[in-house]
Amino acid sequence: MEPTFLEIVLIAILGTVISSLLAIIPALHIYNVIAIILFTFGGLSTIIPQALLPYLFLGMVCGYVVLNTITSVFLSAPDESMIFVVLPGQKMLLAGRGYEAAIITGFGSILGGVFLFVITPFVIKFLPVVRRLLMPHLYWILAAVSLYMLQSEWPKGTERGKFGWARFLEAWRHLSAGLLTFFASGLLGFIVMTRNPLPPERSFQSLLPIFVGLFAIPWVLINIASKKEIPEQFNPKTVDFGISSAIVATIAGGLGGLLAATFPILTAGIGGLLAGQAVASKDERVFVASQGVSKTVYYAGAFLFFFLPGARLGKGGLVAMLRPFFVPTSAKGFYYALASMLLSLCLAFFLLILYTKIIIKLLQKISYKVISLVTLFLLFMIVYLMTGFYGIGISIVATAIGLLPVLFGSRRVNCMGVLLFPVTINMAGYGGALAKFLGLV
Amino acid sequence: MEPLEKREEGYCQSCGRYIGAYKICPYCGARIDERLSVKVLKIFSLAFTFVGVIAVYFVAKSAELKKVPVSDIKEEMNYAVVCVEGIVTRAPSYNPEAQSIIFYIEDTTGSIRLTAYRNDADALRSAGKVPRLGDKVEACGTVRVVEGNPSIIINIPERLVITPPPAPEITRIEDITDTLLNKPVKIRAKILSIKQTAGPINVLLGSLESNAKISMPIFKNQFTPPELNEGDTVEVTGVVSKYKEQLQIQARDSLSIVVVGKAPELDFESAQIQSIGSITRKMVGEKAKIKGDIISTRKIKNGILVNVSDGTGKITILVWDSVIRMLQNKELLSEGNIITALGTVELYKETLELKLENADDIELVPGKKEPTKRVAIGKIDKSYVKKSVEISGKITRVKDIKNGKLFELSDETGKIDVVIWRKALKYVKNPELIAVGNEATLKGEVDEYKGTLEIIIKRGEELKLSGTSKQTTSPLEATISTKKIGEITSSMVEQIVKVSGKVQKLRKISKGMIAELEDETGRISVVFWSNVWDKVSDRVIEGATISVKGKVKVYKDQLEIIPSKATDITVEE
Repeated sequence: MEPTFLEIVLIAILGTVISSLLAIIPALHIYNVIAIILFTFGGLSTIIPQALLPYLFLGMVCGYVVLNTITSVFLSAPDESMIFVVLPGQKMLLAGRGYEAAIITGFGSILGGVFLFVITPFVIKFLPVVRRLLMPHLYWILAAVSLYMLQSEWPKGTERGKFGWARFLEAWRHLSAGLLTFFASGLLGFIVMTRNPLPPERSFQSLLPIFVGLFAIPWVLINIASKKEIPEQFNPKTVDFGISSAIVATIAGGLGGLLAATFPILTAGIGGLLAGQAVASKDERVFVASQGVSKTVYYAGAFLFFFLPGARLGKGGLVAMLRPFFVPTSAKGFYYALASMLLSLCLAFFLLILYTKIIIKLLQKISYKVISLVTLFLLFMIVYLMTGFYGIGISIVATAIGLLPVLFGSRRVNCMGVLLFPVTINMAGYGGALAKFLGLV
Repeated sequence: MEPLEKREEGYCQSCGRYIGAYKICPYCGARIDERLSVKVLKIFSLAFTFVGVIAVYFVAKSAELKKVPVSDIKEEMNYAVVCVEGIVTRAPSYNPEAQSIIFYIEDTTGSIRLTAYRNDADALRSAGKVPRLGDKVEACGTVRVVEGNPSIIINIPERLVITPPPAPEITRIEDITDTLLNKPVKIRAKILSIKQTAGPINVLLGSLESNAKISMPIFKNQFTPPELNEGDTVEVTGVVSKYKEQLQIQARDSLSIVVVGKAPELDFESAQIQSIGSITRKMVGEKAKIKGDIISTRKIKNGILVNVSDGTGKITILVWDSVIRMLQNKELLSEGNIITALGTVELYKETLELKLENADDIELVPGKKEPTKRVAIGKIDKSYVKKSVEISGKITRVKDIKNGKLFELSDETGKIDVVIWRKALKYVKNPELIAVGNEATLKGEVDEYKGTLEIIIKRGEELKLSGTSKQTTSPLEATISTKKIGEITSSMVEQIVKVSGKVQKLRKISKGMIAELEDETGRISVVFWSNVWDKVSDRVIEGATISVKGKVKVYKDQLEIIPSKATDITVEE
């Protein structure tokens, strides 16, 4: 039986509340939780009707996308989509303006929801056409994005060595760290995609140990190693963010998110990088808000379009997980999803305000290190549960690669080489040749 | 202020500013000492990046790709790289739009689709690694499960290994049973018929020894077959498959169909006439020339069935309208005349018939039939039954009957009922003149019905009418009474009916609209083609009550009504 609008809204709100609690656990990605739900607890089919499950996940994604701002800003444990917020966000945190950073990012998510609402009619009409047109060219587009990413590392270092070689090495430190990160993660991705050492029955989560290793564990380790203390945070009654800033942030972040939601492989981090540089703004708040817009358009948008029957527009990890199980059948379901998404984002924003205040108080009392250690344990448990010991091994290697940009001062987005490199190579038709060269055939 | 030496990592020990991971303060240029924990992490990350990637590489390289039974491939294996082995049960098809090659293999546990896209598809083609039907295939690729349906993407062409099956011995069509399902066979057979369908070309193959038959579908997107003609003897190497519970053979490719004997080329002049009685089922697919009297004719869609007898037997000749149009003396294609025809022997619904495809293969000559007598109506008695007569008179009564029209014709000597069926009525010139008071001259056969004599007009052209009084509706229309939807049955297919009802639902189709019409007795689909729909779309809306006159058709076992023009639809206010 087709679920009613009320049932859908209620289940989406339930999802938002659940994920709001999970999102404040540092480095725990909501997709990992959904994967466990889908494959470990029989998809909750005994508790929730199957037809409602996608809407529960939609609510969870909306809750996560808004509330993971807290861990990104206060606990420095971002996922891939938030890696650009961290630097300006942390700057604001250290200046006692963490609350403001979190609220502006959260507000960016609301703007992202509005952006999605406005562009939906155009997306339905034009996105399939754009996708069809661009698919044959995707390999060189991805190659161009990779090249842009690597090139834009130049010149970054501000440090200078004492003499010739030292200067040369110092100048190349960030750059070589970026290149090493990109190609090491790319090679790891290629090996796993070509000849995954994981048992086939665990392959639905074959990239989970890599992503946890690249993006989650390094920050937890850094937090454990660091002795950083959060300065006292201001709790302002109002946040200064004007209409013009909101418009610029929406356009920049919306474009970035849309780019990521449209193209396979590109993620919010990459989209944010491209759009952020396209709509250059010196205003820190605009930048932070635009990243909120970008990640919302990417996460919620890419999943929202999955609900369009027959269009096959959805993308991303959650869509990949759900596609084997769910088939959207009615346009009504899509509009219900759109409405649920907007409601969930609004609810999540209010929860963000509440939780941020609570977190600020708690952080003065609870040890940062303890939280990080618990998180590290949780992450390894998830990897073990989903992929076994092989997965743990792969996640350790990915962690080493994920630490490179953090420790050697390059961009963490280079870790996306894990997808960009193998997919570009495969789409260009050289996957077989490379696999043969490496003896992986 | 806190002393600088007590500042935490991440801050410049000289100026106190936050500098993150920098070793030299970008603000004051002071060198910052790294803590041991960070140094350890740096060494770990560099070492494990190199060692780890190499280790994963060797583990992956040494790991055997797991060969799995098809039925084991489930949702949890999405994105797994696995190997499967099986026999190709559906020949590869190339989709130029998606630039993909798709084929299906089957092992003992089930069937799965394998796809290679773009460059990989090109690589397979250029390497000659496109498997053929019946080949044994071992393929390794990435599992993709979409909407519950698993498939395997071949993204490394080297991982496809094809083993052709051993050349099969010739099998008789009679011996092909379920035990040979999905197994390669070779048969020698005669082509009984070749039919072009919306999907494949259906070639019906007949045994050379008995009446056993098997069909061979040929899909155009798989390969182009050699030139085949009905009557040809062919040798086909293929795989036995099943479609709608019927066994069939699928040729492996164009080279697997070899014409070993061409059907003898017969032309009308040189072909010997053979007696109809000598035509047997064994001759299905062969050409035959016969000569006989036309006993009767029956109009069918797109053609005429001509029943012919030569004293030794009877046979039906199928003549398409396209052939009739080319005939010089087509008026002789009627009862009583003599036909000589060269055609292909076919079996249709267990009855032999001769199919004509060329107007040059028919010769028609007038028969020596008894001339039609012109008689006064009063003189017609039972001795005239089954005889042909010509009468004239005034129409004194008209009645619509099922499937036709009945009228009474009177002259000064008497009166008689005349029946004209709808199929003949169509050929009447000025049929609206079948009205009381008008004059009629007609030729027909005398018949007896319930003890009363009547004349049946068999050909519409043989009814000549004159007069002025006209009906407001055509005689054809006059026979159409409004029916309840529940009364429409399959026996009424191809008939024109009129129904009324409420439009419950409208459904768009590519070339028009389908309305679900409902009355108290049932529901039926009404198909409005675009030319009709464009004119009534503003009035025929959901909830409207409409009357529709149209032809009854069957589509996918469902009855439907198709109006031919906009005026056939009346919307009640």
